[in-house]
Amino acid sequence: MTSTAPPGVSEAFLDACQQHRQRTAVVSQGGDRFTYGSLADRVRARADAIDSLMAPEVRRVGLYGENSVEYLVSYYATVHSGRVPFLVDPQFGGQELAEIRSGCGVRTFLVHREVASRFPLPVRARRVSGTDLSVFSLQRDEGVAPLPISESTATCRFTSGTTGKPKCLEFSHHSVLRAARSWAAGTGVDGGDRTLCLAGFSNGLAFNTSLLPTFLVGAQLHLARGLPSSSKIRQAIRRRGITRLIAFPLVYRLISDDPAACVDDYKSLSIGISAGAVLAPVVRRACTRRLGVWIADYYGIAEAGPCTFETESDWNEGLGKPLPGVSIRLNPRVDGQAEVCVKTDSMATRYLNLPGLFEESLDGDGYYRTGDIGYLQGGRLFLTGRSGGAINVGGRKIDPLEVEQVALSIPGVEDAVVFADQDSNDMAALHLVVAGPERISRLEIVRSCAGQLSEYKIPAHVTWLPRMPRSAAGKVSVARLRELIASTKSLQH
Amino acid sequence: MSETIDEDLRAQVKDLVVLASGGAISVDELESADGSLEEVGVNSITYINLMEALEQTMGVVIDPEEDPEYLTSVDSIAAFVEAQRRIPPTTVS
Repeated sequence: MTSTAPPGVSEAFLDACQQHRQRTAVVSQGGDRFTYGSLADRVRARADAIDSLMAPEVRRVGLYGENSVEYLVSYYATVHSGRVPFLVDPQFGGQELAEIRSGCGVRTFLVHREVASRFPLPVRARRVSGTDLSVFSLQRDEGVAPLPISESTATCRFTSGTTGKPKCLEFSHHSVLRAARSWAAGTGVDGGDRTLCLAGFSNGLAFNTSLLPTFLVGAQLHLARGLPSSSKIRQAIRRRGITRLIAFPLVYRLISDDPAACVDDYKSLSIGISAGAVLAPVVRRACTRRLGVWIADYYGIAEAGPCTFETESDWNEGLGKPLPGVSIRLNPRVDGQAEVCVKTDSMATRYLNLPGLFEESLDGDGYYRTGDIGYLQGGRLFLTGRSGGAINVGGRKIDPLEVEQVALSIPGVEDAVVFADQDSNDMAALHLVVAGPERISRLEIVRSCAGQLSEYKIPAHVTWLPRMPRSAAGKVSVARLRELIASTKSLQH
Repeated sequence: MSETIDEDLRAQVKDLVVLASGGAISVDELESADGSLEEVGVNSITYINLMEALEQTMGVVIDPEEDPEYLTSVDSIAAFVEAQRRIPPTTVS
């Protein structure tokens, strides 16, 4: 299939590898360096291996692994072989993987060894010789036939909304390339940069800021192992001379609270890039004042790619100005506020498993209605709230309906509502309220959800009520739920 | 292993888990789950907060990639802390 691959992402990547052949492209978690030349050789060899292991009609390939050099090779090799990689969060549970199989028609997965044992569905496995990879094949299911995938599609990624299942976003070669070029041009990444990416490659934050934009300009991508801690981040930045850090807001909180950190630790770092959730101003100020670290909090949408970026280091408010190829429009609402709508050159094509839903989210001029409430001032975007939709916990979007459906499958649970709460660390947390005849504990809920849902979708807080306070129309007021939860707690204490 | 662990240390570790979870997990839940972090639903944010708290309050670094077995339960964490405390400090001359 290699010879029939459409022009696009893999050609741009391999051209960059040729141009920067002798330069370092990736530095692994253990410090091993891979040049652009060696990366390209690996990608071509992996594409041949994929061709030999998968029939030509197998176009949809799930990638299931943690950040690694091998993951990057598998991604570009899958594209180079003319297939479409589906970037699956390795934390997805059985429920999510079952939807990817039936709703998206993905029955073939390239699975990396370190996560193979936690793959939640039964499979037939074959090793890819000379690698730490296996090809996992799922049985064909009897559900509705998935939509055909477009020839122009380069990559599929997943996001959450309020549909009860992961939404599969289809991106064309053109969109992926435009997102990368827009980010590179708009944020000033160049060949001298060393980017440390702490977000998972299946996430839009990493995908849009750290993969192709880095490689197109001949910069270095540095990988980190496991969960971050302030000391690990500090040491990695100092030892590797990192110039760009890509991370969720939680990481910047760790940095700002690190008592052992000093300016020297971060002197190589020209910018920290945060996205996924709002970065607390106090964290941003602490990083700047105490450590001299400038943090740019950018605005990106899963469906539309990176949208804004702050280019002035002395500006500490808002989310910056639109990137090249991005147009922002504010659609007035009846309450006097305005919804942020965006149109970019890097928009998704559609939701593969939810036909028509993406198209319904566009206004008459093709602007995507984000659900975010905000305003523009001096050309900069400021957000003030959201009008429903997914719950954001630590930069990860969670569909409340998806969690409620799993809760309702637990014996003894007759009603379930999930809402965004705040924990005692002032962090967003998922709160599940269940109702039923018998008291059910948080541990029973956790046990029942484990394996079905990603760990970050398992509710942190659980409250049992004998009856859900639904209105005549069947609605539940979150304010009323909070009152009942507070009174339940006061009775317990 | 659990017989040799100081009860005060075990209680401190439980408190750190509760704190790291933002109050989502209770001491009672930890006890009814035999201290298993997985059983009580510790998620990645809580793990990150817990690693940070252990480093800053007890001076020990547990890397879940290098030593995954030490970050599984209250007892395994307490045992790791005790073992670290028995290692004499390095003297630089």
